[in-house]
Amino acid sequence: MATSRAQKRAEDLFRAKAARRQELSRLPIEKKISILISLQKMASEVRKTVGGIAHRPWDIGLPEKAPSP
Amino acid sequence: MTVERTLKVLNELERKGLIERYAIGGGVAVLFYMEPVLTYDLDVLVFLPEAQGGLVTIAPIYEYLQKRGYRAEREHVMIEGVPVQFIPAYNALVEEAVREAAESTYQHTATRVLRIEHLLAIMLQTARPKDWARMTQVLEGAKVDINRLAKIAARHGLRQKWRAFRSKFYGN
Repeated sequence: MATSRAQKRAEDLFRAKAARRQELSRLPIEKKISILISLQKMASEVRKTVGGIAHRPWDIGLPEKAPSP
Repeated sequence: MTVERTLKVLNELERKGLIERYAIGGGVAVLFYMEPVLTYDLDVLVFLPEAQGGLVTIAPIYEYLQKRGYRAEREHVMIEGVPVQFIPAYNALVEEAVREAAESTYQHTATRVLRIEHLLAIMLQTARPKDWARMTQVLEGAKVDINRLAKIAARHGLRQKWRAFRSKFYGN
């Protein structure tokens, strides 16, 4: 019983993750670029922490704004 | 510095005839079709004009950009804070991909992006482990016209690779 509840919970989580990814994929490209730069900064910090060679995040002003409708 | 300014510089290179045609490829092109994934380079696939003697070279682009104050760093040129890598269209598949690239807009600036089916076909052709990994991500996260992809694969001798990929990851 506990296993099946855990399995159901995991399935719900995977479904929610898939829905979130779909939502992110529909964002305007400008917003995606802002997220990309956040990812680059996070990855760079992690690499520095573990002593790896960190890529430099893009040196652009943020946030990148989508044009107003 | 903004990505829009980077794209304006690419458009300027095209207007000035240093590039015949360009289209964004690689990880940044993938961003146009699915959720954000980590990438560092702006890959720009280009048709280059023929210089005297039939030579095709990327050097005039670098010279022009350096005069504008953009410095080269290893295989990149830093344009408005973005590392740009210029890649001459290197085979028939990439040529077709650049020719048929989709017109797009970033903020108020026009640009061109490889179509998702061509991006997938190029990954299939390159076939490094990271390409296959990204292919599965794209196929799960983006809207892909599978028939169109299959036709591109067939046209460029990738039918076997496409079959192998499907069999490995999707069991069909």
